[in-house]
Amino acid sequence: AFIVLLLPSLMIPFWMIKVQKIEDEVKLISHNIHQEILSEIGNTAYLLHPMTSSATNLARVLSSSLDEAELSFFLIKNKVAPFLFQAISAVPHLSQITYIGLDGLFFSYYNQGNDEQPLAVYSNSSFPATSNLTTKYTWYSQPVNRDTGKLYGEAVKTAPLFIVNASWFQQALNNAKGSASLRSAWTNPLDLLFLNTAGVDGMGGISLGFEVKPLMNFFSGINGNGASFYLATKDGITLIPEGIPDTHIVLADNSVSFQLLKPSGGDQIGIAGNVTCLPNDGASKGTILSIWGTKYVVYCSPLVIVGVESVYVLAIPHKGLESLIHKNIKLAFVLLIVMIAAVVISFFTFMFSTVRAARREMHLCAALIKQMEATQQAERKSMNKSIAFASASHDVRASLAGLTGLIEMCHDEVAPGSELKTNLLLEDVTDLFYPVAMKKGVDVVLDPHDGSVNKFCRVKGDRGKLKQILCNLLSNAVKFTSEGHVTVRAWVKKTSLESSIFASARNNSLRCLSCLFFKDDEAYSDLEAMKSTVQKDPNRVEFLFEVNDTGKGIPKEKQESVFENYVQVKETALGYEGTGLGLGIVQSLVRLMGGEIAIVDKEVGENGTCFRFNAFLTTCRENENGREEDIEAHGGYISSDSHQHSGPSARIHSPKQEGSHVILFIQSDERRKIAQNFMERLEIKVSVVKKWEQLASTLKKIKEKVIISCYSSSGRSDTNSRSDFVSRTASRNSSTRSKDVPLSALDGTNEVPLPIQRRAHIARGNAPDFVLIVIDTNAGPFRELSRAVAEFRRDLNSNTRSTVVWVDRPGSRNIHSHGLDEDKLSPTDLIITKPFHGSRLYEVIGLLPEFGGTPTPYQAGQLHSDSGTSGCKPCKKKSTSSSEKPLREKRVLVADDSSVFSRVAATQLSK
Amino acid sequence: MDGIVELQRQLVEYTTSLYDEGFLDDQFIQLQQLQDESNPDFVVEVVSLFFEDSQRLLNELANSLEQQSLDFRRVDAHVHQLKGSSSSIGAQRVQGACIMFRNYCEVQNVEGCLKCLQHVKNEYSLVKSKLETLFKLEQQVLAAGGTIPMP
Repeated sequence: AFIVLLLPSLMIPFWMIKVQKIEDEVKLISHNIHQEILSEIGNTAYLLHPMTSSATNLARVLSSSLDEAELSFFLIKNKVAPFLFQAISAVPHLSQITYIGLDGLFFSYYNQGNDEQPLAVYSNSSFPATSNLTTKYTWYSQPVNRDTGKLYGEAVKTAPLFIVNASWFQQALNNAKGSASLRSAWTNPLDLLFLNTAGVDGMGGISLGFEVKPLMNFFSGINGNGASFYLATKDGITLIPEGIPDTHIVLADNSVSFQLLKPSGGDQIGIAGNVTCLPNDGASKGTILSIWGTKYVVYCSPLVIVGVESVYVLAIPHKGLESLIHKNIKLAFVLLIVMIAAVVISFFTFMFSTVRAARREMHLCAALIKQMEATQQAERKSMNKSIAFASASHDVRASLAGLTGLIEMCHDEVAPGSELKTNLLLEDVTDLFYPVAMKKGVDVVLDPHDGSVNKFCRVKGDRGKLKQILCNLLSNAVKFTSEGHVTVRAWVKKTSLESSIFASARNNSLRCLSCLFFKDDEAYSDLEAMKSTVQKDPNRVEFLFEVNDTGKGIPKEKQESVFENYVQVKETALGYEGTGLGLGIVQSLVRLMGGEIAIVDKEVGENGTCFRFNAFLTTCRENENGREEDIEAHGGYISSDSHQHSGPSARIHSPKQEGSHVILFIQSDERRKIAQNFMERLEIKVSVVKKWEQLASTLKKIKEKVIISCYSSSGRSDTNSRSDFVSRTASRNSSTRSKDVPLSALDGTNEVPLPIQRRAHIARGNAPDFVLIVIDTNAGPFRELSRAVAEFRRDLNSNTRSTVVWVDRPGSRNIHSHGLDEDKLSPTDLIITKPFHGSRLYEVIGLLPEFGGTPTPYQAGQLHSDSGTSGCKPCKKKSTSSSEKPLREKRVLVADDSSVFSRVAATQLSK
Repeated sequence: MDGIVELQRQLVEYTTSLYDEGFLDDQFIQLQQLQDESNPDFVVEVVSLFFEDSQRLLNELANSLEQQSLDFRRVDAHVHQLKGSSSSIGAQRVQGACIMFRNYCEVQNVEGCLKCLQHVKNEYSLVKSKLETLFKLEQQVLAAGGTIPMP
């Protein structure tokens, strides 16, 4: 770019210098031209110079040829006239030649133009002496033959001119060289002629008249180049008018003044200037005049033309050429500037556009790069995404495959046809709600009823649904019960022919507890008829579940609608949250299982609601034997008691004839009642203590009994013994623990209707040698309780063993908080920290000798619930040191990386 | 007969000294109790298994500890095994040494580990010689026609 700018900036000065040079040259040239013009003028004048001498020469020749002293007209006509005609024919530009005699004789040839007939003007008479000259002196003009010069034709008189007396003629005569003047032609006053006159021997003179016009034509060539040529005689006769418009040149003395004229009129406005005329010496300098705004170089010089002194003025426009060149140069300069400007502009435009294009290109490039990056990123992202998708789908597929496998594996368990254990299920559910309920002060009790559930504990059914039903019902019960208890009860009703027997038997037994179910049985018999199609399977067993609470209850009229979705009984539901969906779900689930749910009417005066539903489940008979063995092996209780109805041969396990005695001291009435009922159904002697104050006395009584029985060999009647044992203290309100309280108040006929008669055949010669005391530690001050137990134990003979089961509430830890350490307790004592029902109840019963229990079944003092409930687990890595062999007939896989270990373990197991 | 009684007395004394000095504990008694007619050489079998196992483990341990980049987890695993097997035969002192060893492994103390390895080796050879002596005594008793008195 700089070079482009630099080039013009260098070139312009260069160009300027050149232009300056050209200008100088032009100036020089113009000057030269001026000089040339001037010299040409001079030359032209010089060329005309010989003409001046021609008259003199002619005069000399004529004078020599005229030797006569006197010339007559005839002589003139014959001698002079041919000479004159020769001269006029020979000398160029000569248009008039005249012989002028002093006496008045006159002869002249006049050549007017090219084609005109030449004329001769003559005067054949001399001047008359008289004064009346004009009348006598006459000139004639006559045409002349062009070739011979002879006159012919008619002579015409013309006005004569008196030349002889004229000053110029006299002067010519006196001057040897003659004179020159500017005169008009003799006959034609309009025709101006240069007259060259010379005297001829004193007789006359010869005058040669040169035409002005042809001579002036010599100068006319000078008028080019804008120069104007002005020629005038000294007398002021203008020969060539000036070429400058509206200007008049006035000759005065030796100077010329330029007068300015009005363009239109002709009046003089002013004088532009005066120019002094100097002879042209070859180096004259023109004067510069400004005429009408135009500068002229004016040269003024005297000039002799054919002997006539004249002055010429040459006005050349000042710097005409220069200005032209200047103008051109300026134009060129302007053009150059414009060009350069155009170039610069175009260059800058180009640059600008280039830069812009480059910038745009860069922008585009950047945008492209960005775009490409974005595209790449997007591609990467999409690739990552697809990879993630692929891996995710792979993972999902893998997991799904695993799930499918698992589902297939679990299918037997989860599917409606899978196996489940009702007793465990019930216990789970009950235990689940126990803590919640205990917070509200509500007891949740699992009623084993007749133990029939345990018998058919392995059934096929939908565990989850059953659990959900029970959970829903139980949660409802707990929610709407503020005091009292919730009982969960379940039993089996065989749907075969036996079912009626069972039902009746159950009715018998139930009647003792409550008469609630009479009506329901009828209702259910209808149901059974309805569902008879479902119950064709002989293995199919109908399970009845009952959830009984002591809450607010449901009004009769609302009982129909509670099973509908989104219905809550407004009066009772006030302040309770919930959607009202629970019972609806329960009902649909129950129906799915082929059962029916209903609300059981309670007797007047009893609070709460009792939901009952039935479900048909298939038992797994093939497993039953194994299961029994399992439980037996664990020292658990086998629920074979349901057979007791059909025959009294159930108690095959009891090795001794003397019975055990169980003392129940449980705070909750319902729980106590249930436990009592259940134990009594198993023909266990049960004593119930309702208040902690009575515990000591009851124990004392039993102790006495035991001691006495040691001495007395004879057995008492069962009735008697029962009357002692079943210590339903009539005097509940008595706060004193006097011995006078009649402990033998017998209310068993109502509350404990166990068939005593059946037991009568068992020889009971001895007092119970095993006393099991179940004490709820929450029921009274622990210290008192433990003291009573300690008193009871003291002095107890060795024959009688006793075991105390301390039932503690989970979390309350009454025993430990009261400072009773494990070592203070008797080694045979048990502590149960879970609600006393279900499997715990069975375990406690299992402690009794009749049911296979050993006095010290467990070395550890604490019985944790899970050690008992794991009865069905066939494989344990290490056996307990129990003398029983729970792993008998079992295959045990011993896996250990240490060979020592595996050897030891294998040996241990094989024992 | 007197010889047998004498031998038996020696055996009992020796066994008692083993318990007193803490070489063995109740686990060994249990092992002895497991031995009966069906497998009369149970204790010897188990103990020789222990010897084999331990010798192998000790060699591996020594190798592991010689390596430039110590893999403490590996070492720890070995020691754990050794501890298990020693406790299963009731070699109490070896077990104790192993516990110490594992503590050093946990804090990744190389010097402590090396020291412990030596300690464990010592204990191992001690208990080995003691047990071999014991078995020899027992065999002598048996060879003499006596029975091994059960503790």
